[in-house]
Amino acid sequence: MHEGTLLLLFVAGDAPRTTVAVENLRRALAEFEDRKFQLEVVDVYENAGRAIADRVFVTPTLLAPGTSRRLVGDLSENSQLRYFLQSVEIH
Amino acid sequence: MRTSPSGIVGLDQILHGGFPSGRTTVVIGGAGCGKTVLAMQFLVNGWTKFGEPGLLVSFEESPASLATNFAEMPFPFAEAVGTGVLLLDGRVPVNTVEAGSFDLGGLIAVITALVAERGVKRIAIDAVDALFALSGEGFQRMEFLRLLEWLTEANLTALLTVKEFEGELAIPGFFALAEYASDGVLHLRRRLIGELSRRTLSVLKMRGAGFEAGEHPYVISSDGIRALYTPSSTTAVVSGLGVRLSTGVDRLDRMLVGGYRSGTTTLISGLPGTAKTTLGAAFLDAGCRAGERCLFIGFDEPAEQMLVDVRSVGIDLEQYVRSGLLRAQSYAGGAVIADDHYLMIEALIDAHRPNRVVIDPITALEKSGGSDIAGVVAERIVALLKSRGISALFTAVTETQNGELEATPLRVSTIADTWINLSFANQGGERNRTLTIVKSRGTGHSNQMREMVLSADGIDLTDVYAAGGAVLLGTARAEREQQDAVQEAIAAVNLSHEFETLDRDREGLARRLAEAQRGLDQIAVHRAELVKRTKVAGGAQARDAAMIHVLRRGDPTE
Repeated sequence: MHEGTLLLLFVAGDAPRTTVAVENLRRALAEFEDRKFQLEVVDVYENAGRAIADRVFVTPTLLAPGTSRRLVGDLSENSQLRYFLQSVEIH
Repeated sequence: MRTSPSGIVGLDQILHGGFPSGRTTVVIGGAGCGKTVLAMQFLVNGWTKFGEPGLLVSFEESPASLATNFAEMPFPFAEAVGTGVLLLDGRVPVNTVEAGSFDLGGLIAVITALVAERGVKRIAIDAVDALFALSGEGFQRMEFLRLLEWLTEANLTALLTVKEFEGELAIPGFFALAEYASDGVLHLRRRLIGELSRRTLSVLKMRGAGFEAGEHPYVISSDGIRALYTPSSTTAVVSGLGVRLSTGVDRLDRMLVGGYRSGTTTLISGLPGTAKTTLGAAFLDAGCRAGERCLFIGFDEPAEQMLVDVRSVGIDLEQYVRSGLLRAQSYAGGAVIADDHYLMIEALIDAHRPNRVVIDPITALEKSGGSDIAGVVAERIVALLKSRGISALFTAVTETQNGELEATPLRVSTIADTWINLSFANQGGERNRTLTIVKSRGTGHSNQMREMVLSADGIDLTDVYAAGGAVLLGTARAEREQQDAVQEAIAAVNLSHEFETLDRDREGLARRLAEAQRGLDQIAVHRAELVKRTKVAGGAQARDAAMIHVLRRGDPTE
């Protein structure tokens, strides 16, 4: 079932930052080999319970379950995003 | 405007009812000002007293740590948190890195869900600055405004706490932002006076709602925040002339024409060791005997010590402590600022609802931030007690023998309705206690000095000898009393002799009086006989005269 490191991207509805973040993330992931990551986009408006459980109060937030690392923001800072993906890939 | 009461004593009066409903109030304060306590009371009271579900978003403390901190508080934290108050762990996880612009969409989505699910009406965000620690000022301003806008749209009554460091807010420029953008600003402050911290709160702004301006002292005690607010209308309460209450000393009751008046304040001043506390204890004893609830607040020594000490003068107050009629509490005078003492006293009065209160000594307030604050606080205490109709007795330690000649500390002497000064008189190698009623408003009272005698049977007051300008006390008084007793015995013997002589004379006279009476009676009998004989003779003469009149043809008689 598990096809790579799970990434959760919490977004708030279809706000402009949502679109930007999803695009930035997909572009970065394309540089990695297939099946290295599995991405799930979580809309906090529809899954408030999951936002509470993961203490997500700012959006967008990217986290990799099982690691303590998280990125907040629209992921436009490419270097931070790459560093994040490389560090969670090891897990 | 509708208000949502905080349920915090004093604060709701200052806010003219409570926080404006459906509005956002920013609470600014430094470390140790009680921002979290205030937010928690607002929510817990909101649920337990007013039935409004609440939500705390805690950005600094974990729910587990909050539960530990508040477990000791008597207010129903655990009960409320289990039912109508939700705690949300909003701490930003440690390994969070910024990678672009973001907003508070997550927070707003979560709150929206909880409002829909639980019917949340009150929300507190503690401390909102933690949320803005992540990014630049531009973001902070924009998101703060967005949050405020959203809270208002959601019609939530909100408190947002913000930290302050040495007069600077955690968020630069936030003061001005909060002031113009929020509906209300409440400022909590803590300052040092000497080594004591004094906490005050002031309302900087409350849009569309009235409030009491100025700085109001407050205290954080075991039952939460309590603000000092004495409305000007009740400070001027003039007590009516109450009924007489026993002072606990029979002779003093007589000197005061029945005792202290109920609802008034009595000041007992004197040097250390003049038995001020004992008079206070007697007042409480008399109250408890009459079934009145009593409160003792001691500053100089532990209350337990006082209870033991007064046993030596035959006053057993411990039985009333056990029955719950009397509450005896003691504090270290200089440990906190006088405002805090006021609030603790007010809380004690609210909890125990006494008819009589003794504060021993009120002068201890001077150790709590100086006499300026102590004077104001003492006046507030008097006003508080009067507004509740409580009969009070304060003791005051004076430093000189003639306490009455000095301006008594704290100006209490001018506020007190009755003022009694206790002193020592040194005479013939003895030190004896004296009592003088300096003043007693609306009461005729003896202005004579009395000697106060303490024994296992209690307190007694005896007359002093004031002759030739000298006042005799103790042994001198006793000697004088002895002399008087001999004089009185001699006088009594002399008198009884006189009585005997008089009685003898009276008996002799009575005998002579009886003899004379008998003589008079005999004379009376004799005279009556003579009268009878006179009448018989008189009848014959009348007949003869008529006959002569006819014979001589005299004029007709009528």
